[in-house]
Amino acid sequence: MGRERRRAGPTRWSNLQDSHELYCMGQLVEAALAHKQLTGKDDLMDVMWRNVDLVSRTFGNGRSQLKRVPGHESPEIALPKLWRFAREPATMELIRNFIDWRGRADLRPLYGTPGSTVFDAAYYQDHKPVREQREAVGHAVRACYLYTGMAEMLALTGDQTLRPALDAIWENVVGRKMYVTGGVGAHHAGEKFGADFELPNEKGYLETCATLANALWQFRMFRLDGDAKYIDVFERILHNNFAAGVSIGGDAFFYVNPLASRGNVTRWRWHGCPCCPANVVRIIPQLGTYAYATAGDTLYWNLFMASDATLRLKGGDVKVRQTNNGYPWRGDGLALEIDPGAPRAFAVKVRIPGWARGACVPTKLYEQVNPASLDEVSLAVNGRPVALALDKGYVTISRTWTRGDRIELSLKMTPRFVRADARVAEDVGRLAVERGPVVYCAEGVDNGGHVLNKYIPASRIMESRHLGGGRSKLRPSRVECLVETTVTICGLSLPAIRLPATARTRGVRAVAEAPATLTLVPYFAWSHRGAGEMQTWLPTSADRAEPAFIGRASASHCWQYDTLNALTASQTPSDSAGRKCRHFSFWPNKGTTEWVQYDLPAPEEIRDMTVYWLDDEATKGGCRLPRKVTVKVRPAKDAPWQTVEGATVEIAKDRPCAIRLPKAVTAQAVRLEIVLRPDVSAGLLGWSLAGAPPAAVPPEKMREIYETVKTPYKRGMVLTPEKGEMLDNPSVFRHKDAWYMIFIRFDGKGYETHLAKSDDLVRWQRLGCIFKRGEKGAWDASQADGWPSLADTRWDGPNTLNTFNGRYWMMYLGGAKDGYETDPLSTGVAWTDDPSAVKQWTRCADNPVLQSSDPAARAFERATIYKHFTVEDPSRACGGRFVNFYNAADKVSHREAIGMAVSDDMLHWRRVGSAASATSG
Amino acid sequence: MFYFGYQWRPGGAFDTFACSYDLKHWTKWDGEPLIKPSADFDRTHAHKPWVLKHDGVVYHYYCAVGSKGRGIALATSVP
Repeated sequence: MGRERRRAGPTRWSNLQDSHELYCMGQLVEAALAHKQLTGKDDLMDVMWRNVDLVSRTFGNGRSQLKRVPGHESPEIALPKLWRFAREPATMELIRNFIDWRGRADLRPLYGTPGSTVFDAAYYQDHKPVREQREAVGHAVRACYLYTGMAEMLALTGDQTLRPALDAIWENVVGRKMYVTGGVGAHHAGEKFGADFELPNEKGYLETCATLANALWQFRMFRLDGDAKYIDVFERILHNNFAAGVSIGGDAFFYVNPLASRGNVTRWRWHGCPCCPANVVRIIPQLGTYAYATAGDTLYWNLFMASDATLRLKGGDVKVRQTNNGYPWRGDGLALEIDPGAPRAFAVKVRIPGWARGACVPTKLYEQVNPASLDEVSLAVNGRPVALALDKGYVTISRTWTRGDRIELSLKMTPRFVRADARVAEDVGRLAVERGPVVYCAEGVDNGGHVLNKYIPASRIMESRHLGGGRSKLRPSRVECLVETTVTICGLSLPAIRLPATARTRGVRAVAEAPATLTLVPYFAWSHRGAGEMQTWLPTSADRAEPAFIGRASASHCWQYDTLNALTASQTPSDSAGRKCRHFSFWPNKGTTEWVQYDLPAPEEIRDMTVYWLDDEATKGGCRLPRKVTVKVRPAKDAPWQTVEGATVEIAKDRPCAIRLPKAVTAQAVRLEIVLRPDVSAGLLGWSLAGAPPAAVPPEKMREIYETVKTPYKRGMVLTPEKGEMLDNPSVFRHKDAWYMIFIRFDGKGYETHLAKSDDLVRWQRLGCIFKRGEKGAWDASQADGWPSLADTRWDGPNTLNTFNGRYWMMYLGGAKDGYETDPLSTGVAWTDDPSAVKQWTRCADNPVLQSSDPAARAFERATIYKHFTVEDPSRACGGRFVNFYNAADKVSHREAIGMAVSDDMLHWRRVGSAASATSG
Repeated sequence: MFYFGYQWRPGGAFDTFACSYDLKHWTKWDGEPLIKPSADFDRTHAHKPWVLKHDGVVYHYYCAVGSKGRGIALATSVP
């Protein structure tokens, strides 16, 4: 409390931006109402009213009143409850003001710390008036509380001017910013929403409170228009992110709920900012109130949970009893027994969950690969089938209900693969698995200690099961490779799923692959059996699975809060303080001689190694770079240790350091003997037996190259444009006895490709057009700007064009729209037998070969693809014979970046990597 | 790799280069650009490099945008 009091400022209301003064008032209102409801007592209500009256007097439009909003929303949710309870006009006035004043620079100074990119006005949703907001931004709990309050205000006042903002923000969250577990909040810094589709799995935040706030908001959106899509999201949150936020035993909590882990997080018994446990406690007793809803003479059956309830319909109370056979594990036998007293006509709306009819979420953000179908759902009243006519996700049964009438619903619980929108970069090339509303994950404890090293060979799954690709018509709902089993966690026998996978392991250098089985457990149940690796989005290709080290790590000592895993993990520290990675340290030992050691299953040849030293001076830790390091090896398991003479060990901060042996040695065990400096300890953030990662080109080498290639003498235009034309993109090559330039010419409609000739590289003469625009209606009808492929890249070499299959090749940028570089532009391929001839190059039938709309397109290339530079790489180091670098622009900012693709035949191109090779800035 | 940069230095587009040992990991040259807008004819942009060496002279062709419109210009390593 001391810290909170200091933060509140010297006097009341003096630091509303950062203090939680008004937030606490909201929590007090909620507590008092709950206390009143449960005990009937007024003592806490009296305290609450004094506080609310004070706030009502203090904040308002009067001259002596303050015009401010809560720095952290919460009264926006609580006050509507209070208004429903007491209907005090002053309460409604506060609700309106707190919502209307937000983002109003014309009424009050906006919140936000000048110069801060984290705590800006958007952090407080104070960047725009709420009615003008269209995207979820800023602190995720604050944001969802605000949206909940806005939905409440709309419900209470009918103020439809709030509706466009609510709908747009909802589309933004559920279509672009929500995790498959229902969680929100991508950024740790500021506990914030990220950009569209920015949903990092391991580094995501997904605060438990934020997911609860999201659930509260979804339910209020449902109350506005009775659409089951909001309940679909609510249910997803409930069974996944929410359930994971608290341990099965109910005594430990996740504040942060990542979708992947390297084994460095587990639930906390307590948290310094204890909001999440209290929020969980608040929701659990309320759960029943979300199961049903009523409107007039309509009863909504929303959630499947065994319960007895009395519901108030227009025509009188109705009693219901809900039973099931073990939902969410079993979907059969969901039953609702109706008791209206005397027979009476009204409607019951039965929710058919999206997941049971092929929609993972109500948007296209996540899609079932083997989709569920409505054919698998059955609904009956008193044993007589009911037609599944859906309206807003419900089947409406209107009839005269008699005591004992029974609605029975049966949903198929089939394991399903889910894929994310291709714009979610973190989930590209990955699949998640769900069963009913429950998301699954893989934990190390069920999978030989490692899961991050495994992938599910998608080609096998896709081919044999006719999944994905969108081309096969046969897409069975049940995938045979997903086998159902059980795993016991905390004494609960939970349905698990097993599927074939490939495990990658790494020795000193070589990576090995072996068949494996992945066992998946419900996501909410993770981290109950010790801290370990966890993965929700399973890679479908080898390049996304990090090989696990096969050896055993040991050390003379490891500080109890550190881990030997820090050595073997392929983590990439940003600096030696290791702020965001696991540490290994000898703390509290100081000035001693210590060691770390790797034992290998069999002797291997070792030469260059890499080590990353821990030095946490920057964070006031007790570890510094060591004084001296000696390398020792054991040629065989029980052989004596030998010191490697002449080995050099770099000891430096903030970068990977090389350990170089004078010659390769064969070893089954390697040890670094580390002499600590006096009075300080030491540690490591990683130690790899493989050589250093691909090195940056050293500055002196870069300088040397610059001196070699620089051209300080400008010679002016060598091809000057005529009126009405523009010339661009020169490519110069030698053919037989002359120099040629291929360039492109814009004539007002689009680009075409031209040729010029020179004898001395300085004076150039235009020869004419060698590549005209495509025919009318073609994809390249307006643009055809090409440049030659396979230029000989040897410096000071022949400067000729190389051939492939006896032909000269060109890649070109084609487009159907007129104008200067009008999006979208795609890539075509053409060829000729003589690049010096003034004749048309020939288009290839497979065009276009690269498009910004390709599913494999990465974020940076989704608006348009520009120019290419194609070389031959006989070593196939990048995975193909031909390597193509191209620049492209993204949809959001239209900034350009350079990407890479490879091909073996010039026509079929595979993109390499998930990100750009070079970016702006 | 010769390439052009735009909007991350003041002025118009300019040509620079990056180097790599493996074609996958690139180190950018962070010194002066190879070509940047400086004359009337390339005042707006001096970009899209094609660089070759022949008979001891380096030729750097680029697209110049400036007083004469958009055309092809040349710079060399010797006067």
